[in-house]
Amino acid sequence: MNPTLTTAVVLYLGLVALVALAAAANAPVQAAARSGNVVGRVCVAVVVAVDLVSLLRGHRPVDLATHLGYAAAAVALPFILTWPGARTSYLLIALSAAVTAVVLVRLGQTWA
Amino acid sequence: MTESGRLLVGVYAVFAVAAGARSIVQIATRWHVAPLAYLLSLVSAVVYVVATLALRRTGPVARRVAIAACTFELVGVLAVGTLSVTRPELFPDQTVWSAFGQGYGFVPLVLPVLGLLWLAKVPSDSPSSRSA
Repeated sequence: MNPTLTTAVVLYLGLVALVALAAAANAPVQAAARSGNVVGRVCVAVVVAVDLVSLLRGHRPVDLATHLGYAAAAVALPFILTWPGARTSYLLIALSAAVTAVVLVRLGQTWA
Repeated sequence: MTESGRLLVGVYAVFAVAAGARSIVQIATRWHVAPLAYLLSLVSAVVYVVATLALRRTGPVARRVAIAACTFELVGVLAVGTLSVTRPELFPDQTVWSAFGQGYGFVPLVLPVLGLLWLAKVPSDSPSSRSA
């Protein structure tokens, strides 16, 4: 777990949520919201990968099961919210980014 | 489906994941501490999954399932919320519905109401309006 990286990704996801909300309100930032969403997913995957590597190297959080639950949710939630084949709305992208940011914060809190 | 409908289904999906992950972890690691509370967490997770899938689909059967899931969820959060306040000894640990969903910003209390209102707004004789 890298606290600096996690904080940066949480802030980035907050920005993506704001841009997606603006896109939902018909501001001309739809492309930025879509690309920001994709980049956000990659960043979350990197955070979780770093976290898993740290776990494999021997770090043990107090509540490992809860921590792994948050790690799985951080990766899975964006895919569940933007269901394959479904037309994704900008409101859903905003919701996905905001919720994933909260899950990452909880992931960091359960690291110790 | 309208933007508001997509957002509603999205929030339901978030709660399906949150309640599901919570109940799995609770049952797998602390079942002996509060079996009733953890069983209720599992029930709420299943209801959220059913509601999410039913709200996503079109047609009269999906609509009836969605209404039943939202109604069950509303009754559940009101019953468990009331019991958790009046008989706290029944719930040694928190569930999603404890104290009317206070741990989740009372969203579990508001969500079934919004779901039922949305279902009432969508005409039952035109399922295509939910996929428009």
